[in-house]
Amino acid sequence: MAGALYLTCAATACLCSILLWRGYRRSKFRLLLWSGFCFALLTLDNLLVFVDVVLFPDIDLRPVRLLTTILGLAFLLYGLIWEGK
Amino acid sequence: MDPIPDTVTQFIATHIDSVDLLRVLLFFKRHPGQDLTAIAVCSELRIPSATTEAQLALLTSRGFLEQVAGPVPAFRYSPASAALDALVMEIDTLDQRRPVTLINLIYNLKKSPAQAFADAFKFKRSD
Repeated sequence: MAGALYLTCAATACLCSILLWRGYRRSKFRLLLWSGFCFALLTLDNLLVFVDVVLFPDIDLRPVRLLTTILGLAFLLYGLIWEGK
Repeated sequence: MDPIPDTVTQFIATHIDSVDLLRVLLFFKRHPGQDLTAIAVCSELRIPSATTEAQLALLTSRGFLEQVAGPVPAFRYSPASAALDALVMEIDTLDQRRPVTLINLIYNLKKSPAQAFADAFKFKRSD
């Protein structure tokens, strides 16, 4: 059940990433490009949660997951601050 | 229907601020070699003269027109490069074949980033 939830979150984030990149191709707003990168990394983060909790519960992947999340949010913040005008 | 090339989209996003600006540019493109004053352009295109003068200055600064010296300021189509001329030609063709698509493209590209962000999540385009 938990595994299905994590995979659903990953699929949703992946879909958001694809939609944002598609929007960037149409409109050329870089905010969408950076947001797309953010959601791509959040997709990776959700997959890592699945791997960490379900597949390899003995291995602690929290540092990697945190780094992925921070990097994703950094992309989003960059886009909002510098490309959001 | 063929999608609009990325080069055209990028060109419009970078150089074309409004439909009126495009009209002025294409008017000059369709009258190559002619020296045209702001009054001639605004009377032909039915655009306010103050707007026309600003757009002529803008197109000159962006490398599409050159100002011709004379008693009355006039302008001539003179793109800064062959690549720029080719893009304007492509847009001219697009304007003749798919004018509504081109106008919609201009308005879509002038949306706010927040609106574009929200529109990205629409599965089906309404335009």
